[in-house]
Amino acid sequence: MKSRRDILKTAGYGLGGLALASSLPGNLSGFGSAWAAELVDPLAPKQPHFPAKAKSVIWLHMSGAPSTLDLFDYKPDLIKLSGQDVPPSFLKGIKTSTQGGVGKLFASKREWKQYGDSGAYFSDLLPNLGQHADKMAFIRSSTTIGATHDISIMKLNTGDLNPGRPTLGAWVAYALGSANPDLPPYVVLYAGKREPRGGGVNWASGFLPAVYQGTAFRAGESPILHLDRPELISAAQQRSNFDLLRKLNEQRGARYPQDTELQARIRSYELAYRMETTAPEAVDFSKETAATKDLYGINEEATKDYGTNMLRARRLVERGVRFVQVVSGTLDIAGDNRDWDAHQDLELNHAAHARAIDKPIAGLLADLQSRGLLESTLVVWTSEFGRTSYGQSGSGRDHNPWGYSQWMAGAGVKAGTSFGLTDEIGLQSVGKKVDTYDLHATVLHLMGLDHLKTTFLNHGRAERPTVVYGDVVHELLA
Amino acid sequence: MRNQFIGAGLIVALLTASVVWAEIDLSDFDEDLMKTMDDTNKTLEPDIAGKNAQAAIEGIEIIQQGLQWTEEYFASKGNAEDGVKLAQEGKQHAMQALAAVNAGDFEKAAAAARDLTKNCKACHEIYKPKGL
Repeated sequence: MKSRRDILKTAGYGLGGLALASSLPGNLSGFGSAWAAELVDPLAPKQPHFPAKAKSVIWLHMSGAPSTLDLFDYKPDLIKLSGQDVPPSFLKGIKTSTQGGVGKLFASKREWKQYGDSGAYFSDLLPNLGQHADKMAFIRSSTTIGATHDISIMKLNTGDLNPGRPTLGAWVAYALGSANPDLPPYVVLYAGKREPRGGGVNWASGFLPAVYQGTAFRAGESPILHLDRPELISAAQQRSNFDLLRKLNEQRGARYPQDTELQARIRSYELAYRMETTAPEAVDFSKETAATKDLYGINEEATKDYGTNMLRARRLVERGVRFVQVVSGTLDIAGDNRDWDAHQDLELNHAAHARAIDKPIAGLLADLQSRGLLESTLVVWTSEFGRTSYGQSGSGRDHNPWGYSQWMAGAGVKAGTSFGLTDEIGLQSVGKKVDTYDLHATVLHLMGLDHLKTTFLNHGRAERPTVVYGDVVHELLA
Repeated sequence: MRNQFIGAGLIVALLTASVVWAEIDLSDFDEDLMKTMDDTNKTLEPDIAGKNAQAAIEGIEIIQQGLQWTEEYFASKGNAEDGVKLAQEGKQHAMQALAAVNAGDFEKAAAAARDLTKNCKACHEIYKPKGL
């Protein structure tokens, strides 16, 4: 959880943070004097490489990896072959690492229906999202690397299997700066009883300056830890303190105009001060109508938590936040606290999780559209991998990095379409595959950024968000 | 029905995959070498883009040597023409990158490095490293 102390220290606009970080191994040694002037205000708005379709991204990470075979990827042949061994032809080219081996093909008790003009299939678990089929572009041939959650989540967010690289949101913040000087450009929202799997590395700035890392918003009225003014200090006293501090810093700054760290520190105090008001306001629903709250399911127990985050996400993009990363939480299922990771009891698990997100995400899409925000907001539904066509434990599915579905909606997206496909049983992608790097390149493209030209000098190397991979999936673009 | 389905699945697999899956024993492949090549490749384009000529040249030389070994390995295996061909193509991309770096054309060198990465990926689609 990022506290105000952290913000002052690192977001610290953080040139103090930068100075420290640059002395640490693996961090910012490429930070040179040429950068210093630009980083006087590292969050100043920057021009994209070309006109952007999207001003903001809402990155919906379904943590634990849902079975898209049970949500979007209708496979009649899987149902027909349920209970049989996987035909060997479908296992060619993959190494299944399931501890219990490859189980029999498994079909859950789903009913499927086509929605909209696109005729996209949705299972009975997502009746509300189905209503928005024509807003979505499905990626049916998603692939990734790895079979463990932490590693694949890190790849989903940073593009690498090891810690140290910036997350996609951090790259966006770095490349475009902030559209609202009173809020962080990159915010992370999560629900549930614990911090998301993999932790803060999934919203870290890696080798980028710390100012670009995501700011995690807590549940409740005060979203940033230690942001509130201390009880025993009045607003006037605090303002007076800041004014004195600013005056002293400015006097010293005038003597040392080359000291960009001090200038940045002055700004960081002011930003933290402004955020005492702006951050709580951004998550204050008191001016939202009852109808809006209903739309997100905030008044229903099953959808309250995720719906709250969806409405927060809308309010944040409305206020110019560039990248809102929403991580789905855990729910109490069969006596355990679980995310989407249904190695067993998939029926119970997915019924609960789908119910928690279906109405809120549908509400978000509808609300964004009605406010004219969908044209400038890119919504991405993503997960670290999918789940296998074959069963596990008799009632669940194992991890599947070889073929699964994701979707995008909103700004610049070719709505009502599908790209790619999986084989007849939904186990492997066939044809052109979309890896996490390709997804990142496509998101950046919609933000007006060429992923090959979005670079940061680290250890003398010009690093980019997509490591050394990635192609924009033009078929997904309107 | 099942037989029909399996047949259809196989046809799809053959039609959509650009190559037939490799079924040769790769257990004696030098995995340390492959890891070195992968690690080097991940720093090559950033070195080139950072105009770090010396580091880029060193990286290209490592990859060239690795690809030479890989070509000879697949040639000696037999029934691995794809591997031989991809290693040869990789060497060509590496040579192009080297020539461009030496000419000071870092943009061209970066494009060649990206081609090299795609070449590596194409090979790994057929000859899977452990863990994939």
